[in-house]
Amino acid sequence: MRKRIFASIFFTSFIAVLISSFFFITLFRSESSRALKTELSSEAAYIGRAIDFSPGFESYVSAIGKSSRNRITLLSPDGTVIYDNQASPGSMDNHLSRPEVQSAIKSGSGESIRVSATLGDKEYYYAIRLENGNILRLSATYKSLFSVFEKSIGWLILIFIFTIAISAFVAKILTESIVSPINKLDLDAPFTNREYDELSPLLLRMDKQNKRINKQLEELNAKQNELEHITNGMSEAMVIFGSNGSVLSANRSARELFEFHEGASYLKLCRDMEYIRAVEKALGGSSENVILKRSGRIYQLSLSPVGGGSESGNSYAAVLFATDITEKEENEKMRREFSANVSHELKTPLTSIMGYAEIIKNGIAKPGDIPRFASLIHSEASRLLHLIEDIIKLSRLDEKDISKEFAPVNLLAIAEIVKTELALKAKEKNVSVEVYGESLSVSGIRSTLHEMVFNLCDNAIAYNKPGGNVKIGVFSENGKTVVSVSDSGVGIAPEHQERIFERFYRVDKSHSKDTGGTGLGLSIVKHAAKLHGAEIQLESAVGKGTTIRVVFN
Amino acid sequence: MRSRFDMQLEALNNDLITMGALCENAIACAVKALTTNDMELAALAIAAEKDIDRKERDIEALCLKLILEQQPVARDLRLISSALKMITDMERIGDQAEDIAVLVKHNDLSESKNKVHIIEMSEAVIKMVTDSIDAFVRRDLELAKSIIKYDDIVDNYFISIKNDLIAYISQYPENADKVMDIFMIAKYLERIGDHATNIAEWVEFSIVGSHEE
Repeated sequence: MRKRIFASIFFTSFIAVLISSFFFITLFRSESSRALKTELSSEAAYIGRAIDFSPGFESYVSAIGKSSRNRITLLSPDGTVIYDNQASPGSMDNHLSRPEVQSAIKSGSGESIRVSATLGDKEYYYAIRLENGNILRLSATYKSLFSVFEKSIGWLILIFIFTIAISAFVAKILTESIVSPINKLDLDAPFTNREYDELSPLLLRMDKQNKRINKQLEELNAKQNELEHITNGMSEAMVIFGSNGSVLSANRSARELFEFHEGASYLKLCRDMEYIRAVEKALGGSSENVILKRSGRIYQLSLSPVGGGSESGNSYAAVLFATDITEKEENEKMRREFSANVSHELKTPLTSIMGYAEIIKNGIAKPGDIPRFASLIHSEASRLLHLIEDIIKLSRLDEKDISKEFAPVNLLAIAEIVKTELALKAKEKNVSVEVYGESLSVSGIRSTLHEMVFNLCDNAIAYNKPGGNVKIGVFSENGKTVVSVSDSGVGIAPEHQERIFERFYRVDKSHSKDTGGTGLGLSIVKHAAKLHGAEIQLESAVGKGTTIRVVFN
Repeated sequence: MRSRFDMQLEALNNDLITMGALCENAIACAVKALTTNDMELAALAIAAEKDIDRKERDIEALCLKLILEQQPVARDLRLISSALKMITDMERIGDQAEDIAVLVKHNDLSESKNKVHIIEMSEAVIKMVTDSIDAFVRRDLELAKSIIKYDDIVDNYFISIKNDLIAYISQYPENADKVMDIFMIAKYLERIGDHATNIAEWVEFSIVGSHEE
């Protein structure tokens, strides 16, 4: 635009200068030739008048001829040259036939423009007839248009260049002044511009569109923020891949799970082959579900393609959801182990019962052995019953909707009852049981708490040494009620301490019947404590004994 | 023109990561087959070798095409030339993972392997391979340097395994063939460690433009 305005201003001024100088020169030339004619005619009149009055005219004419710029010729009436101030009269031919001379003889004066035969120039001639019949002719070189140029060509070029420079300069300034208001337009606030009315419709439209764009941007931002808030609050990791496989957006969980920056390729997130194949399949248009193990945790990845179809050239974006299923997997694993253990534990006593029963049924058993077999069957059956009872208790504790009829329960009283209940067993194992502490109550379910203390105490006796002791304490510590069961038994090695609360977990892998028990006792303790919001603390040293404390909050 | 070149470089980058992932997968499968005696995993590791070879050809072709068509300079040239070198090392890693898998598949090493630190060594080597690919993905100079140092640990494992095997073979001469297999596996692992070191060195080169002495 700037170029165009400059060019038009410059061109216009240049053409204007050119045309005006042409006309000016033409005018100047005609004016100057008219001035030449006037000059010649008046000079001829003076000289003619002077000759008419003075008889010794020849000396006068020659005096004038020496000083005049013009050519002065004096002719006799028959056309012979009497005097000429620029050429010798002898060499000149008869001038009678010259048109100006002819017209001077006829009417007193005459003029003519032609190339002088004597001087070879384009000349203007003016002639008058004197009183004595002689003819006085004056002539001057007639300057043509070209010769005017020729003489002053240097100046003309200089003026020309000067004019061009000036017009270029002015054109530049003008261009600047036209363009700068447009350049300075504040497009964010189009109405503040009042420079050009012609731009108003454009600016009006622009203002409208500005407002619309701003509104839409705000809406978009709000939506984006909303989405970001929602996705950032999710515990699942979510990543959106563009059709070229680069990350378009990801939520906070995804940033924690994978290390990457926005716009990175999907390969930079993780290099698990399953993951890579799944993303590639999703980008190709089919949903995928894979399991990803990463930094010790297990994630379920579901990838779904987005978009596609003929419009987008059959290329898909993909959305990845990663859910942490570590706990679910672990629970699943525990449940599988539990069922396997339960079946095993149930099968063992039943096999014995079946065996003895078969012997008796087939009549192989000696009559003397039958009472022994019957007592074995009885003890195995009661073991089985005990086990089933424990499993039922545990599954009841597992069910969260257990009727929580909490009532104040005196823990010391329970400890005393447990001591009485286990007195016989303690005596058999030669272990002394002691109860000490304050009479403290907690809010809870009596039967469950009783079960808990009983199991702890039962274990303390069962895994004790002959002559050892068990202490059941109920006391208050830092404002919290504590039940502590300590023994002087075999103790638990550190590697087992983590796992003894698991179902069917036994330090003694042989699941031996010597110590009895079902392997569910401590599991019941754990669940009972959890139900009452209590915390279990375990301290144990191999060969020295174990102390288990249940701290009620 | 430039943006097309950038896209091609990005594709090269992604191809390298994919090839690295294939290598990681192959060595992980081979080692898992060794620890768990899972023959399916051994078969996977053997199959992966073909994929790795194909990927090497693809990347090689892409690199040559880039050099011919784009005449890269400076960083781009360093990336492409180190890519050409890295794929050779990655391909060797794939080959050696296959070799380990073949040994595991055809010999029952379940008894002998517990006698030496072969499992620990294989874990260290997997870490090296993973780290070297990570260093490439993240252009992580520090990580690359730490891998080069880490190679000493793998070398020490190799020496201690060798010594343990010598003691073991004099005690149980009847298991000599198994000892030889374990020793071969240890040697392959040691070589994989060297290739991972090479990759780390090329990562370093592509970043700083020179090899450190």
